[in-house]
Amino acid sequence: MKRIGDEFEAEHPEIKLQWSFNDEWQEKWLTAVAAGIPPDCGYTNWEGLATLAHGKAVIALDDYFAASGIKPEDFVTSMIKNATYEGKIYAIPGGCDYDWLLYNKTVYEEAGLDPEKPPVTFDEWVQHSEKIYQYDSAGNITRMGMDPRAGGLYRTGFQFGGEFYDEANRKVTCNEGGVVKALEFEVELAKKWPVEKVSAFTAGLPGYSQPNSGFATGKQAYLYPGGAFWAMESFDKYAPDLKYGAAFIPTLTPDPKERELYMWIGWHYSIPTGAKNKDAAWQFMKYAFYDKAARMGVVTLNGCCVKAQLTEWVEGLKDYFGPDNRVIPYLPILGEIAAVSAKYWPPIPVASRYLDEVNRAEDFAVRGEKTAQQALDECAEIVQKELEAALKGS
Amino acid sequence: MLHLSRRTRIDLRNGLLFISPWLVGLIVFTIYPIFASIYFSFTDYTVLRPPRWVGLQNYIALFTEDVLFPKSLGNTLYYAAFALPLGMIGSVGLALLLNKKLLGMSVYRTVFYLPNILPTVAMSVLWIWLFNPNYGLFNSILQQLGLPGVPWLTSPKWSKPSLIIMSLWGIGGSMVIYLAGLQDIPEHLYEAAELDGANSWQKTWHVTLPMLTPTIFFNLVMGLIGVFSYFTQAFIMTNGGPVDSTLFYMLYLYRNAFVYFKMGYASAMAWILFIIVVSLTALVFKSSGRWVYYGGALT
Repeated sequence: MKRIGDEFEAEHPEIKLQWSFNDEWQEKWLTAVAAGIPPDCGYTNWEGLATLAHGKAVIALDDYFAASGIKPEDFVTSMIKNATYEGKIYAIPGGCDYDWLLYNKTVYEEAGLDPEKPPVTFDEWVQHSEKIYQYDSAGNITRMGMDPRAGGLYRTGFQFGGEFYDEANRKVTCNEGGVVKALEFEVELAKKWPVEKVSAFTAGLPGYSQPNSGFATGKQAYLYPGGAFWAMESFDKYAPDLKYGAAFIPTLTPDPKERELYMWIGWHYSIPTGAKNKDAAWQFMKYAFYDKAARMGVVTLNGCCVKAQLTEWVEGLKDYFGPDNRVIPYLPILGEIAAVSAKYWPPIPVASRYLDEVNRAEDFAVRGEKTAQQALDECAEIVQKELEAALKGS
Repeated sequence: MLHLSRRTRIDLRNGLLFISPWLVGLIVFTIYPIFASIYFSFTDYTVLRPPRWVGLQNYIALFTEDVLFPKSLGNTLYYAAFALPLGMIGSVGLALLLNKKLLGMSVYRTVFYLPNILPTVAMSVLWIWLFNPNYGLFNSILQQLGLPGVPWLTSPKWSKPSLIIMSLWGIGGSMVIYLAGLQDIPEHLYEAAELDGANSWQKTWHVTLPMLTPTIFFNLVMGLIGVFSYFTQAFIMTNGGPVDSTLFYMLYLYRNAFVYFKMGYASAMAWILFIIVVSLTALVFKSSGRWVYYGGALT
């Protein structure tokens, strides 16, 4: 990020950048805004932006977009929609966490599966996993296929045709249609592969960025979510002999159009309401996240959010990883899914609470404490109340 | 009007100047936030906008609408009901054992105190490993004994007991205070008891424990405050799960304040907790007349 910043400063000597990196960015925002000393621009994300926009802590950027000739549709749909609250754009998309399904080819061979044919549909994914899962004499998992949560309900809900929010009626809709079906699907999977056993198994495995990760050692056949970008670097460092492939995240049917139902999360940059140098802030944001979006995506290993630069970004990634890297043949997948996917987490003032409640509902259902419908009805009721209270306070 | 001599006035001024850094800190960072939070608890306050007065709405919502409020309070009471007495029994017992005059005793005391100097975060990460159902030390031991493994933190039934077991690792802190209390007990009381024919158990029961009650009282009050503000371990190890089984009061309060930006609501939660802790502490104080014995004091 700083490299792009340095290049910006070199091209704009009249503007000096001062960086402040902080993991607890939300607390930092809160305190800086409350104290009346906000930065000129700052990081926000898919969960927190709408809350800031609703609280009028960030300014609408529509005029800046128009003045710069930038159109909302220039950006990846999931990201720009997530940055739009009540019809106005409150952030410029910065980086998107595109994801895919990484699979371990050695595990596939050992399980008698074709290592060049990863699952395309959910049903195939389940069938493959049934062959992959292994247990010890006590019934503990020793090799794992798909996670029964299949990447998280907040994503699979969309893939099953569900919607989490009806914007026109300001209604929380997680207890209707596709989301319920998605959770019922997870509940069925959890009967095959109980969540407690899966948690016990995964809790003891190093993460993908560490040596001897579950995926690199063949204890986990798949890496999803979290398999894109950073995992590849770790594998090059710690597991040079690992044979892996990447595939589109499975969908309900083999129809490629279903990839439009992928939901991406990511981060943005916004200008706080009381910022002193708004114009300079916009110049930087436009430079870093629009003009140089592809390069930013490569040097920071992040998902480029500008559609017209996706090819450049993928080519940049190829250069970054080197021509002989195992991952090179698969990289175009990232560009393809970025271009077509259209689902996004609803930008509502209680977006974080909504996500927490969806995760809670999922947890209750897959552990058999509640039915999918019950858990999601309760989730919808809680979030609807919270939403109405937040909107009433506006 | 109070008439002070010139000397006293100068001393007062200098004294106030010397403590002024602390005074300013106390007023700005403690007293003001305390009073501000009373006001905020009656408002809808997101920090991003000025607070909006809503009267008792936050309190009413907590008691009538919020399903997680009673859950988090229940989890905290469960933890308090077990962690506090077990911790006290454990630390008194340990202090009694480590009060013997044996070779190398100071080494044992140090060993038992050591966990207290570890950062809570590092300790929590370590315990995640100990509790790991497949590879953790505890289940390995159980396996060696031919017993089935326990799902520890991954099961809603075991998650709270796991954290209670973990809390016992930190009993060395109060053990040191008990040791200090034990060493304050006059030797002549034991000699008198021995002359009366008291055995070890009787000396412990009739001399040591009564003389130790002021220390027990102190640790009880401090422990009470500690268990109700339990946060870090749950935040790091389980983040409230599975299925809300470790959603403790402070964790839920934190989420409301800093994740959901509901600062007014979180302030109301803080004041409810304050009332609970103060009430319980008052009960302990009230009961102390019956069981706390200050040696030599006229009652």
